[in-house]
Amino acid sequence: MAAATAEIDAHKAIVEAAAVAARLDAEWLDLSMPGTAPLRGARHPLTVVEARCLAVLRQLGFTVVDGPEVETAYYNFDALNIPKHHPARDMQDTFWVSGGLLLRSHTTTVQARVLQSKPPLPIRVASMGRVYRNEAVDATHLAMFHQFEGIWIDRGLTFAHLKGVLAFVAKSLYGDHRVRFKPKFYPYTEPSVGVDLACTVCDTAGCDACHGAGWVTILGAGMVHPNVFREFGYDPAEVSGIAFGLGTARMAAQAAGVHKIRSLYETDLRVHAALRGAR
Amino acid sequence: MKISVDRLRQFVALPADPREVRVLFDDLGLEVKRVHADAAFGTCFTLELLANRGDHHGYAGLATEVRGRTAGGVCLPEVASLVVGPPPVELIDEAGELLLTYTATLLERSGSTSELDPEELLPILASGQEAVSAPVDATNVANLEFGQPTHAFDADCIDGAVIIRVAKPGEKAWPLFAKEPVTLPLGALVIADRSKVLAIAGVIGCEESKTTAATKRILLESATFDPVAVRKAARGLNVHTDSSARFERGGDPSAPLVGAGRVVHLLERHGWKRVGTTGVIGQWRDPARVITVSARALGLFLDHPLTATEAADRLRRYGFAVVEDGDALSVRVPTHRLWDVENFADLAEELAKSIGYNATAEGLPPVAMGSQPSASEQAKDRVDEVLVGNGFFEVFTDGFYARDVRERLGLSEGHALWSHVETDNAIDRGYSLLKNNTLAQAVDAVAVNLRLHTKAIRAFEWTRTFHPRGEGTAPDERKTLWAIACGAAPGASWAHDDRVADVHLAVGLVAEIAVELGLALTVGAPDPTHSLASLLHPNRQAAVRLGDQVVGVLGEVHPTVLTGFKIKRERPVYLQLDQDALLRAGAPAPFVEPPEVQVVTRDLAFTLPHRFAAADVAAVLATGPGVASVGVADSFAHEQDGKPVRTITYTLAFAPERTPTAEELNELVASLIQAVHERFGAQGVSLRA
Repeated sequence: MAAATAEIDAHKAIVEAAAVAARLDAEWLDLSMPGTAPLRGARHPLTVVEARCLAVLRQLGFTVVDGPEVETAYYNFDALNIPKHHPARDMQDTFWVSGGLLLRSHTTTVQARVLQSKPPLPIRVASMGRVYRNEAVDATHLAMFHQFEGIWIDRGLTFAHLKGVLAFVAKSLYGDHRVRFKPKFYPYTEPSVGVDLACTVCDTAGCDACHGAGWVTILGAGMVHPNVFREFGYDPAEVSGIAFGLGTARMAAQAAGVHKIRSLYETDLRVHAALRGAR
Repeated sequence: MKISVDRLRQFVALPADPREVRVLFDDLGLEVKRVHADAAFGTCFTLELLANRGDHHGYAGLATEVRGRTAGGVCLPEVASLVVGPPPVELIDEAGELLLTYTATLLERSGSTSELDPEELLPILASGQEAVSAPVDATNVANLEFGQPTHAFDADCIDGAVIIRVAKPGEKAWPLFAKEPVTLPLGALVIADRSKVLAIAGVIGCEESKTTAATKRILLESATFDPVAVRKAARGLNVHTDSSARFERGGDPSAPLVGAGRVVHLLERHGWKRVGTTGVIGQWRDPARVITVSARALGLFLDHPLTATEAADRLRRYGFAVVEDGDALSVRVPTHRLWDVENFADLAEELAKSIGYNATAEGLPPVAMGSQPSASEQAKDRVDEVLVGNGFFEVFTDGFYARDVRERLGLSEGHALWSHVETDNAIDRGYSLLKNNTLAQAVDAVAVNLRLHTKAIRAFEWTRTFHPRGEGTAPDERKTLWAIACGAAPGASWAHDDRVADVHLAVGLVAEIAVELGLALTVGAPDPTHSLASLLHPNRQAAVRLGDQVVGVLGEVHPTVLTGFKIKRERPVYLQLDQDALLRAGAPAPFVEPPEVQVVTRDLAFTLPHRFAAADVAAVLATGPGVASVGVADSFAHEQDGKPVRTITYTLAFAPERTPTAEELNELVASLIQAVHERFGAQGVSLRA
């Protein structure tokens, strides 16, 4: 009797297993078909880069300030040590709008407004956003693009501090690549500094990516010009400042391997879908 | 500026390896944009010079900059010593302060003349210019070597005196290389004689006084002019020359005799000779600018050990005259740096360059505490996450558009969006109007993607619109979030999850954003006063409100607007929210413990007449005792008695304190049905049998 029961159980198990196997076989799904999870979109690569820059600056206590895009010549030029007919005005072909106003050509205007408002020291603010240049658009020139700037005002800030902050920012954003400092000219800073990063492709040997230079400029910076301080009632003998700007559009393009910055400003969503994976 | 490295070696000692020279140049702010290996001229550099350093526009200036770092000497080319005296022609200064220094030297052919030697021509040939004639070449060489522009006039073409004056209104001149005479810009400084303009000062000479192969006598001009005057003229004429580039950055008012001396030296080697003495006029007097600084303060600023003696030595290499008095340095600014050296910071920059920007110390200032993203920044991130999670891509559009956008949107004068802030000098008509709405660019984005056969279109942007507030007053800048969707959701179409985006998607986005931000955003009756009201489908739009305040709008884009953008079949849905309202601090909903008892659900289907809002019935159902939530399970559009109706199936979730019996539940449902009938029965709402 027991043997018969065991034999029945064994057959039952075989039958059940066969049934399960048949069911599983019938339930075969073609997993080579594309997935059906809802596809995400993406933030713009520029927004991503700005967030990275801000995260770095927040470690140093920076906060974000904002300002108008339609400005007066005072905030865009005069207050920033760029008087009328100064050669530097050539560097920024300006969009003038009705009423003698203009579209800001740099986000330094925000810094001017911050200085004018005389917040307590230390001032550590970052400003970012759209800026405008009255230029014909081509692969590398845009009539509107983005800038990202920071300013640190306090007593006792030195050229060494400027270099320290710039090196910290560069290292935080780009890792352990070599950086070098070089003299530059910006009307609102003195001394002015350019920061180059060793080309991440050739490490200064020179290649197509860096146009043979071996270095890629990533930052423009300097000590706030005494005339800017005087303009807003600060005594440059008492107060000094660090100012710097990052070309976030170029950074975003570099990060995504985009050769034409204009691509970043197109509404072709094929580009943005590709950028999502590329960054 | 393109220079020959080998030629520069004749001015100053340089490293043997051109690669090291390049590193040195980059380190000095003389940025090497390109290196050329030229068979004839050796290694050449194309330099990008600093915008404020006119003195770098010549080999001598570059050599001085190198010496500032490397010490040693600078060896300058030979210069004829000019004797200043009565001018060879009458010189009349009518320009006042716009003329700094003007010198005139007369030369004439002396027997046979010859062209400059290849060695002498090297600076201009290496720069890419071509040799023209000895007089012209000599002036070009002098300019490249010393950074002092000079100009040679055919002296026999000059009618009487040489007058330096401002151009008369409407006055014409015939600049070299121009096809015909041009009207001079107002305020342009000119060099003229009694009957014509000989040159636009500091910019370019003129055809009628140019030297030719037949020229027998040369009047050599070497001068410095007011930088702004030169700049205005160059811009006004749209003529930019090596001379104007140099003068616009501020010429050295003490250099004209040197520049002229170099030209004279070269020409005297090739058959020309001076006649008489060199005349000099001009308003400029050396201000003898002295900056007094503390060497210790300079050292502290650079965080570099710096004695007064070392600081003085380094500054002297650049041409500064320095008197030491203990820690104090009295620094006399040389004439070639009067335009850019005025204060402590300028001298600190000189020293930093001399020491090397990469050789000074670096260190972070003390930082007590980092900072956190503000509430509005965090809120923006959460909104981004909602949109991105729903397949939207962030884009950036221009701050302006073309005038025809009014036509494309179908706007007429008097419409709230007719008035724009306009650009005055846009070089492209696409930049004519600052945008006062974001719908146009959103719909354009859809049109662009449809043309590219992109079927799933989801885009959003945080941007600003500009609204005029009167002449001379800054426009009202409104920060806005817009999103647009068109076509199926992005993803695999084979799974038939291809419901086309409609206004309900926008309603859902608002609901999700409201939850994320803790804001009581509601979607309700359209706001007929909204500027977009006429641009959205009249029966498929709604206002987004925060309390009583309208903070946004959503809807299907009006068919006439779509026609303006050549969109024929698709029905994009658009959402716009006021950023400031959206990012104000919300209050997260308090946590409510889910009921411990088993939730019981019942479906109820009501037939609603055309245009009757489903939410009104849901609101009545939600008032029932024990009703935890009311959802919509189905919507079915059909006809009833020949009229269009919808049947909405509501799912009621009951969460009473104890599990009700079937009878109790039926009683409760019956009471809710009764309530709906009492409230809306007269309007045609009825329970679907």
